[in-house]
Amino acid sequence: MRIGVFLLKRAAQLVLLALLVALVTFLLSSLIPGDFFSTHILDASIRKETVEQLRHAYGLDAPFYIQYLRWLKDLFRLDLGYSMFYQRPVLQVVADALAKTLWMGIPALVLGFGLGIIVGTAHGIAGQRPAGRLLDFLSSITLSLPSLLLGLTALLFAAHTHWFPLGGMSSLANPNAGFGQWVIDRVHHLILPVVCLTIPIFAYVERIQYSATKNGLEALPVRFARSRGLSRSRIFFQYIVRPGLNPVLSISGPMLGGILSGSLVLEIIFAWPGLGQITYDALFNSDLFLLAGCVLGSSFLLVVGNLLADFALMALDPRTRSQTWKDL
Amino acid sequence: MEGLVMRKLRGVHLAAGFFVVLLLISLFADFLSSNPPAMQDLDMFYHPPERIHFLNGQGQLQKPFIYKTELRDPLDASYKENTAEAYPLEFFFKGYRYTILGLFSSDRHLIGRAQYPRYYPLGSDDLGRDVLARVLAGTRTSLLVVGLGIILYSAIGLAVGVFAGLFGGWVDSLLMRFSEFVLALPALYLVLALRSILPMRIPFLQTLIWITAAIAAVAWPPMARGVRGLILQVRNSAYVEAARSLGGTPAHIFLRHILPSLMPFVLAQLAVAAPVFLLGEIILSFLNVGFQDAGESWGSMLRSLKDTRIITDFWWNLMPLCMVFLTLLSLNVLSSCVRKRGPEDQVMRI
Repeated sequence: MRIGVFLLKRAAQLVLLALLVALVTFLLSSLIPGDFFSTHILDASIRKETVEQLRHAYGLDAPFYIQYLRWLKDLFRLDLGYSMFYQRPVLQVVADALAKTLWMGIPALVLGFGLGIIVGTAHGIAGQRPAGRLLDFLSSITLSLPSLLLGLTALLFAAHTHWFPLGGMSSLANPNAGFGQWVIDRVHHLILPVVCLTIPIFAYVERIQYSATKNGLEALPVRFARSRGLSRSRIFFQYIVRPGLNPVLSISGPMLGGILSGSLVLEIIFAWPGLGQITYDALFNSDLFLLAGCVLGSSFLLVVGNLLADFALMALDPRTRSQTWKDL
Repeated sequence: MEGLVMRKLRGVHLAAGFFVVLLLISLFADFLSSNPPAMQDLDMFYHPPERIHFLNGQGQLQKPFIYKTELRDPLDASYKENTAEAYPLEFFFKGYRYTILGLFSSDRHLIGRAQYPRYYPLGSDDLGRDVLARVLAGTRTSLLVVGLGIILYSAIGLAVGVFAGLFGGWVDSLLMRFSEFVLALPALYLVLALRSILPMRIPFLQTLIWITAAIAAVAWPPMARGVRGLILQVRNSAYVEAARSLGGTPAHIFLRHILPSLMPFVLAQLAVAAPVFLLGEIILSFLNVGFQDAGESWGSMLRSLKDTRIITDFWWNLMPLCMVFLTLLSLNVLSSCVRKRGPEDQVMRI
């Protein structure tokens, strides 16, 4: 089947990409002065030979390409190495953190894309009517609210009103609490970060959906469908909304990877132990294997996002089916 | 219809006006601020904006003056004015020395006081630094980053795009694969990693160049890919073929026919990139890897907002938050205006 070949090629491309990204990680961390054990040298109670032994045990004394090849060899056994800071296997640390990032990211993506598509379509159709102008205003405001500003404002808001917790994923006050209480506590902690992550996604999606709808209204197929006397709802759903989803869907793949950048800042503001926070710490602790694992984790998100977006595009827009195959 | 056009123009004019104000502020930041932005005064932490008085104790009109304030309670940082003695504000007074663009040197400042008690128009932060002076200096930093950023961005983007588009073949496919690779990297982490190659404390100018270069190093692909696509279109167009058949040299065709046709796209792309550089610097400084506290930046000022008493008790420290929002808003309004003027489909394609 052609679709099988397409998927295989696509997956191969993306895996190659992830491995290249990991190579860049090793290269960059060889350029960054010092390694995880550099701070140990300052400690008078640790002998110099011990530090050298530790370095040798973790393979940090080898050049970066040797380190990379060793890492690659272990990767085939799904062994991502050992985090020097957490003293746990990298795979566990990264999987934990990835789950926490997705806990915040998936609701935000669903909300942001859902609202963005609906409001963007309405915006495109409203045009220059009063409602459209109101949405123009809303769109410029939300576009100028990055997650950094939103996060800080939300934190100040929470501190002022005491309506929401000041960060963290849960408050572990009562270990005997029932499942219902656990859910309420988790959702309570989730609301502010999700809102702050949703708004920038919403603004971006809304802008793209708006211009797609606006251009779609005047497109030839729509005019032709009107002259054929098709019903308004048929024209709206089949001739405006369906082809108009193409640009939004094509950005949705990279966006899944992109939420990581947005959530890094939010994770730090809201003390959320997700992938962004872990990567940031790994970078500054020079925890090399954890860093490589984190980069691999975020590339994994990107791969999954792109594949999902490809599927959705092929399902919704028949034009892309032949096109994507030809491109390869 | 007429009214509609007027309304749109007004929004854009407002944004452009705000931007001109920002430019002027960044030129005359030191002239407008009364205290050096890095000067600390630990006896004046979280001091509220100072009140200017015109009437003295007997109710007589005087030249504007301030009272000395005394710390009443160090726990909630409340201050009390000591009305025993009035200290007049000075105009065009001699303060600290500064240079504008490295060309003009002066020590004159618009309003304030050269000696203790000093004048804090917008209050002070947790280390007793003048908030207004820091916001003004941060404006200069932000605009420098944006200015240098779009220069680097267009230089890299145009160079790669033109190279790939004109040479074609394996050069083209190599450069395009490379740009896809950079697009797929988790950008913020790459910038963080690039930043951490250099030591944490480096001088202002070095920080400026390195941060901007790090952001440009991950931001260039959209520009390069767009330019390359346009060149592939234009080089087969009728007017380029006509120029070629009339005996135009490659250099002539490139400079007179191809390059000008790229300009609308390049302009629109620059308008899209400007907020990226602005926000990138702010996020890096917020994460403690950009400008350090001494090299004023809105991002490093935002770090102090982690003290949650700010919204209730020390609201004047929210100033950088407002400045970031307003600057982004004006940049977005300007960029959507540029995109409307330029051919829209060329922006959508990338």
